[in-house]
Amino acid sequence: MNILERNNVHVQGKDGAVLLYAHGFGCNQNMWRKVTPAFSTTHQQVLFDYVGSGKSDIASFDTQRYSSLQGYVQDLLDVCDALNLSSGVTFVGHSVSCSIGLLASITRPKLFDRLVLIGPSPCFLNDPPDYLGGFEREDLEDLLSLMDQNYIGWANYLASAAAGETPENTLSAELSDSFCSTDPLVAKVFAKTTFFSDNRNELPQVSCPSLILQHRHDALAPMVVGEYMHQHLKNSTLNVLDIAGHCGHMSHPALVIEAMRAYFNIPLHQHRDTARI
Amino acid sequence: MNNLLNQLPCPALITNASGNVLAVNTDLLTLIGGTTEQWLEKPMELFFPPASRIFLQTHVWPMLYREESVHEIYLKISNAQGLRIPVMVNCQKGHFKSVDGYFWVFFVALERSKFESELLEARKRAEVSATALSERESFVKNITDAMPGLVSYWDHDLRCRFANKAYWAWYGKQPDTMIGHTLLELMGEHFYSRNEAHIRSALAGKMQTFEATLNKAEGGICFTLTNCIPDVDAQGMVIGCFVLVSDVSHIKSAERELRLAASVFESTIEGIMVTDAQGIILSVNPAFSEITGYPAEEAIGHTPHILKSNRHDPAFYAAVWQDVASKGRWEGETWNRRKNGEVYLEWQSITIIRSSADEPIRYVSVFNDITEFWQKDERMRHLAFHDSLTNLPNRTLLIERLGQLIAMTERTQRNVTLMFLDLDGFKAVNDNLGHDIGDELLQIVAQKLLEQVRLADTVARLGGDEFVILLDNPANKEEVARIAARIIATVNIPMNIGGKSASVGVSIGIAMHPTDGHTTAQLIKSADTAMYAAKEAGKNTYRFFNPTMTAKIKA
Repeated sequence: MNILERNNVHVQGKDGAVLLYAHGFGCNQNMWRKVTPAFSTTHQQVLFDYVGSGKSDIASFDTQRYSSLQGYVQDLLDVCDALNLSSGVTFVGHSVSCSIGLLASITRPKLFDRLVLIGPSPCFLNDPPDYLGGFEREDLEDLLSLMDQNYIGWANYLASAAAGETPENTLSAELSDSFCSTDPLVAKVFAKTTFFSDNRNELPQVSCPSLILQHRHDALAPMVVGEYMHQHLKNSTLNVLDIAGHCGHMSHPALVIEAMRAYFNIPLHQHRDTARI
Repeated sequence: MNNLLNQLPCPALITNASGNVLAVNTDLLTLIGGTTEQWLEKPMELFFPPASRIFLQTHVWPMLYREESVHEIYLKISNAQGLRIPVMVNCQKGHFKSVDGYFWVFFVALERSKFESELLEARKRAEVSATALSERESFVKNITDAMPGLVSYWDHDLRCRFANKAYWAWYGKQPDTMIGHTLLELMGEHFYSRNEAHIRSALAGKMQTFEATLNKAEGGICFTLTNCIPDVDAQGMVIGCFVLVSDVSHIKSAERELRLAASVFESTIEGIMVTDAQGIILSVNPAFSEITGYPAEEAIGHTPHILKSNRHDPAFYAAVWQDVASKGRWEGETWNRRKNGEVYLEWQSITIIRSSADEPIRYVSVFNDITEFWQKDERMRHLAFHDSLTNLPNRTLLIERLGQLIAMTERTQRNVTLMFLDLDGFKAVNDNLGHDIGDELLQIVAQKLLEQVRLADTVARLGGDEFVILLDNPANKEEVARIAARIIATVNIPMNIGGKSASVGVSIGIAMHPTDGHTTAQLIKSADTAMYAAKEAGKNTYRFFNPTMTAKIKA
């Protein structure tokens, strides 16, 4: 299967440096729609869905492969290879995709010029006394059960599709764009991979400059986690956005765009000096 | 706005785009505790447990930002008592005091969630059974792949639908290339046609078990045992068949060997007896029964003691078992006793059979009844050394015994005396009364001579009417003379043979060792010379040898 189809790849614009956007768990590439217009004239922008999310090819899903973040890293690299991107790319990732981008930069040190990490967390689980990711294993088990409850919508969606309702039908169209259209089993695999991964040991291996966009009040990736990332990532810049929530690029896109632009304006070599904006 | 919120019959609140509380109604405060003032500007996440917080951030907010509303999301709220209350969440983006506001309405969803948890349970069960099914499939595959036999399933058109590892390996195929192949393609015309009748019968609904030879991809053929089991659907139609093929080449050859061994066991003329390590008889063959007289049922369960003849002492048996233990085998002659009490001689070999742990587990005795051979042998030996008419030792045996006695004189003081006898008047008996009477007379004389000597002495017949008596250690010359006189007297007594009276005399020459000769030849010659001297002296008398006789005879 063609990678561009498999990962539902969209390329916007022809000129300028490449911005590669990677969505987080529970979402798809649509989450970037309030950010991309800001860079449409200055950058070539690449969007995609991980296999199992959005409008990717669900048949390509492989439980084994996607039970490790390396499976998602490979999706990212596959997309870059399919587009002949081998250097000069700016990676923009949200949540778990921050970890995926960091791991990809270790595998392909030349691929990325810099990384924009929105709400990153190397490990969601608490590991007292030195590390507090914010959650206990039990919380994450509860999450899986909540997903079970809510993905019942998926069954309803299938039922309506089976009843012969056309995709143009309003309800179906709406569902198809929401998490409810995702296969619950696939979503659970992604959830487990996301929330049970621990990439703290990999952080020191990253040398690519990075911008950490930390939400001031974020239940998923609290301040301490952002600070931890900043301490362990060489050439990283920590920028705390004065907002609550985990999806600044959706709730306060202007703030995120502004922070990105400011970062992009700094010459690359200056990223080497660790900064706090 | 609070008033409006309070008119809603369920918990509700308004937040900004970051989820901070802008307004809250009484029902919600009742649920989560606290006052409006306490909650204002606080993140709504505070009254959600961790899992629901994650779900809000990863699912609900992204959807709200995108779609501006969410419906019927299942979450949990931590109530004032710390309990987690399931709620159905609905949210709609709107305007509140000229800013973006998100209007949240919660339905405490105990009832509904009960229904949905049942639905969820059903789905979990379906998941579990789907997992179980796939596990079962792989379980079945693993089992059949582990089997050395060929396991396959063929549809009604004899196309392969399933084949285990042994099957595709047999035909040198890959697992995926087996499926869809026809049986004919796989077996080839020749082997297919030989088995076709069975296959057709199976497809007609009759289970088939048959032996067949099959070709192998690597070449060569195998003996197989094949089971074809029809697969019948609910309507009774045969929709295919299971085929189980076992390579029985080894069993076949083992069976052949076994059958051969069994027929040897049954038909050999050698008696065979198998015992366990304790010597209890486990099986015997027909020849055993024929030789010993014991039917199998009277032998099995007993020990070979039933055959004991008492002709061997315990040392003999100890030596036998010593050999068996050290060499694993013993061979030799054994005297045993038949059921009827008769003693017989057998040539027996005893072999040990050991377990894989090298422990003796069986003893096998194979034997021939050699009594007749032995008897024949004894008779031959007897004939070689005896005179067939009188059964007395012949010249050969006489010379041997004489030689033995002379040899003994070298070690101990011993008198050895030889008497040479020739009947007088025997020719007349033969001529007048016939050879039969003559022969009978010789037998009677032989008996008379035996009666006159001791057991240690030897009476031999040299042929015709010549006899020799070897006296072992007679007291002295007088004793010898007395014996000679007694012999003459008894031989002279007329004999009644077949109603006719016959009389003979006897002339006896006597030679004594060592005066009359040192060797057997000399002694016999001297006794012969003395016998002639007795004849010359008028017959029916005896003479001791003296050297002057020789000259006379020669003269």
